Amino acid sequence: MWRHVWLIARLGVRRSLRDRSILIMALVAPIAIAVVVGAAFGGGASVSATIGVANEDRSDISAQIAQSLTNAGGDGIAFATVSEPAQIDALLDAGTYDAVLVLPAGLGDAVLTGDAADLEVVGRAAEPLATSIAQSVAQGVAANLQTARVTAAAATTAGLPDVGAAVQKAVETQSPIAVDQGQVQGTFSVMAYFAPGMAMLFLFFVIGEGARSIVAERREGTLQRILAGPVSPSAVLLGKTAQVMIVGVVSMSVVWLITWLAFGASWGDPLGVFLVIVAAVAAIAGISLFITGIARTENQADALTTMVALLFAILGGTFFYGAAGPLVTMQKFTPNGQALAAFVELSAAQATVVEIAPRILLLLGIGIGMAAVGLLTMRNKVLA
Amino acid sequence: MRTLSTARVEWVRFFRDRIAMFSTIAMPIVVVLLIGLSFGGAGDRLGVGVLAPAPGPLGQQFLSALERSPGLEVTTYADTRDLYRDIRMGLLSGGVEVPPDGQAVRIDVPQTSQDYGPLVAAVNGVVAQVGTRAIAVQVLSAYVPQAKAEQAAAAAEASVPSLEVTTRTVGAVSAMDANRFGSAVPSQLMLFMFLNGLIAAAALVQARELGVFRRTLAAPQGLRVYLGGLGASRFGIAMLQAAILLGLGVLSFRIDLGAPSAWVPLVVVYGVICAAAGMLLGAIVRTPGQAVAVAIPMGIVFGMLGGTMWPLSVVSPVMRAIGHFTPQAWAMDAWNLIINEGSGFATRQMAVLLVYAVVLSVLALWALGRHARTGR
Amino acid sequence: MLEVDGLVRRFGEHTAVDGVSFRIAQGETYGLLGPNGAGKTTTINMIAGLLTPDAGEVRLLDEPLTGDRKSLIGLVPQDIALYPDLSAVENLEFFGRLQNLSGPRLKQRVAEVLEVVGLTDRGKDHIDTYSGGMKRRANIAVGLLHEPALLILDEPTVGVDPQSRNSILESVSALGGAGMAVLYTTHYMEEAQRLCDRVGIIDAGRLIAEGTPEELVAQLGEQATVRFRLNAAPDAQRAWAEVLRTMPDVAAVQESGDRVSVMTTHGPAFIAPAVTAAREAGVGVAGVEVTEPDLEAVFLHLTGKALRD
Repeated sequence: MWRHVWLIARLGVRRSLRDRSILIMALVAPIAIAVVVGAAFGGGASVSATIGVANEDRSDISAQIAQSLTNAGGDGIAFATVSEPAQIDALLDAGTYDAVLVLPAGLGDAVLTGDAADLEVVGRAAEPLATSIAQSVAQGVAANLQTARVTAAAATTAGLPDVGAAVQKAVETQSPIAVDQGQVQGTFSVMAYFAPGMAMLFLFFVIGEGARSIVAERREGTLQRILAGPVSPSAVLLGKTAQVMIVGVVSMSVVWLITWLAFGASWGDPLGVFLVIVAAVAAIAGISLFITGIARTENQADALTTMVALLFAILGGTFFYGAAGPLVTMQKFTPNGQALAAFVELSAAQATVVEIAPRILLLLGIGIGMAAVGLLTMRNKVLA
Repeated sequence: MRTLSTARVEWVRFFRDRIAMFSTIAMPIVVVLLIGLSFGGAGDRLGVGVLAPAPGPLGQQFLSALERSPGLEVTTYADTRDLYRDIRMGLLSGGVEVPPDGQAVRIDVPQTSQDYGPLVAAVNGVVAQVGTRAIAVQVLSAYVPQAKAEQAAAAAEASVPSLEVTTRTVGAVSAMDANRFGSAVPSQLMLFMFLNGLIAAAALVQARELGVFRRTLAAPQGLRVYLGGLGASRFGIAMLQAAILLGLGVLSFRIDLGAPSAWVPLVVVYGVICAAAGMLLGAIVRTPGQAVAVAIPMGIVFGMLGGTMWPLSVVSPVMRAIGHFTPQAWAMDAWNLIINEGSGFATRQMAVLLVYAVVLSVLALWALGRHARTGR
Repeated sequence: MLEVDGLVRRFGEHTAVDGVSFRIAQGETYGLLGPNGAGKTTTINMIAGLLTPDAGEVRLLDEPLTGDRKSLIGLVPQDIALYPDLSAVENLEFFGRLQNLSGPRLKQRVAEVLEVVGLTDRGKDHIDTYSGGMKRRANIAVGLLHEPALLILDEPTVGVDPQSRNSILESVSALGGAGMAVLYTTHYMEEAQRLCDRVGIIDAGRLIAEGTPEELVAQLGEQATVRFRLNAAPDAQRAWAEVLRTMPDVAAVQESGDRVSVMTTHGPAFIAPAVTAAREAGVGVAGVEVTEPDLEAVFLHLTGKALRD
């Protein structure tokens, strides 16, 4: 029997690979789409803000603050002195600055006397991020000034001889919290997310067609011809299942290898990736066989496949990631979502095979379970 | 009119096909809901992941100040694995690891990032807030006993009024961003009108395979009537899709679409483009399977390049230029002008779209006519 | 060699095959002759193991037909059961391997059967480039590939051009001549008459007569069939047919459109009185044809129906 299973599978694979629309869907489409996404987002998202510093106060203190701010710019953030404080609104509208930090008149005096005072941030409604960053920076400035004021007040209360020296020392003292900066090693390729997602979307169609070929061959008469020979119905069903598995695993692996080797998008630990591919294909194959089994006509199977493929793709996070809310829960319930989560673990979390094993087993379970139901229904319906 | 009756036949066929109805009408609504609910309200703060398994009192202070920081959106993590994963994926601008007191706080930035400045500035702003009393105590302790220093510092902190940060904003938020569904409705409408228009090509190819086309040549003006009716029905379906999605957007989500005199012509001309594109595709491919195989990837790629899946403002100028080969990009530009800038009729974009519509329609009619006459 | 005993098969309320039994001897060509819907294909499918009979048995060489023994049968089904996107050679190699042929032996058999059906030159072309007749010939080739003991052909010439039809009939005839047992179903009487050693006439699921073509025709005695082509109103035609039925030595009268067929022993002598009656009934006679008894007539005699609609 296994020889017959292999012969039937081999013929099916050969016919599939000769079909141009299958090649387009299984190989060209996912790679093309992944390349487009990679080109659009390959550079990574960038944030930058130019924050103007408007010194309306003419005291030494504010001059000192403005000076240290303009020196404190770093990658992606720049502080520039606003030459005409009166023109702040116009300058913001024109886009010269993304937000402006204002040191209002009377600030220096208030700091020394211990009265209440404000720092002002003026932002653009269209640039909420720059506005809130400017607010954070302003809070830092306010906190530093407050440290000096509190030290001054405490020194006076404690009866220190030289309050000024104490304040000076407070200004020079480092925060009790030291800050280090480190890099997170390892990169994540957007292509490595979209390529498997798109490959799976299209595999629903490709494998769906393979599963439907069982019914199509009954219509064309070749199924009967096969069964008229010394071939058992089980061999036919297993052969078709093997056919779709082979086509799915091979095509998805090719997508993987091409995006990895030719475009540099690593999907993660190769063994893990391959196992997830096999498991994902198994799940998709099982669902396709199930659909073919329960559908009453070929057209109905075709239509159900389209609907399921698109729905699972959208809910599974094929078109966007990083969402919050209901999408995250829904993702867990689709094979696409589970597989993409596994792929993300492998590529972005640098996970090992053991860590993603539960997802692999879940996908395999779905595949085997649904395939069993589908094949049994088909056996009764098609091969009576 | 016979053209209308042909259109009506196709129209009825569409409504009987429940699956086609689902993917044309329900699916875009589902996607809009998902996008709006999942992504609305993002973008005004830097996302930062915090890992603080066992913070000391100073660390706790730091953490609460971090949460209150206006520039940061804090998510708590339980281990470095998930934290680093999300940083690598770009879901976070960076991470902050808070060890027990005495050790340095660590800001984690992505390996490829060139612009972590804003994150560091915001975190430094928080750090400054935590040290006030400790620094005062430290300085005073050099002169007076610890206990007295602490007492004085506490009293000073309580009595000295704090320096506040006030904010005011200039200008207005773009109308599309003000409503969480505001950009999702127009963009997904453009995407799905095109996608469904192309997929309809499959049905057209089936009609070709059934020989319906060649038979129409037998009746007087038969081909013209048939093609006219076919085009009208496809256009009608696209308009139905638009009416439902836009109606839902305006009535349920209260989005702003701008002036009707501006967006109605936009939707109409775009509908012609989608119908013509589908008919042209139907004339070119040979089997319904091929039609679907080309339609879905093409719809997705055009949707991506044209700015319906992400705004073209976030991609490089090169990609933006490439994108403007698609009608989608011009349509999205028009929507932007109409909704965000309230500019009324988007003349330049409409002219370009009109050219697309005319060219595609002519090509489609020519290709289908040729097939009917020659069978190729 | 083939024993079919009491085969019964129902589809819901409808009994398609109702107790069919026959035997085919070694080297014999047996024809199953009957109109569309008589149950021929259903019977074939039960013999080939594609349908399970509700009752009855099929035995080939004294053993039931299951598992590997199915290789003893070669099936040429009514549909073109070939993969259109593959070439004839690829189809043959696939089905041959399923029949446990392989290696050089397989290649040799493929070449041989292509020769037999005359498709050697087009063997490498895809099936969807073939004409209808060529497809049928390829269909037969697959059935022959594994040198079965019994070749079953289910209406192999339907929708085929006369040239291909002739070549198919010649091939089958040659195979029979070479000693292969053949089961041939058809609704074309000429084919059954030409090819078959024995014929079973089947109608509505039952075998109503069996024998050599000569034996069957002999049942009709001297009866000939006279066919009139008419020019008349339906009422007048019907009235005239009734009159004919009452005339002496008329065995059966059958109307079909504008033709009336009469079975009678009188033959040519019948024409004159019939035409007279026609004139009296206001029926115009456009043409007359007399044919000697054949299997079509046998069928008509037995069932009152025509083999073809």
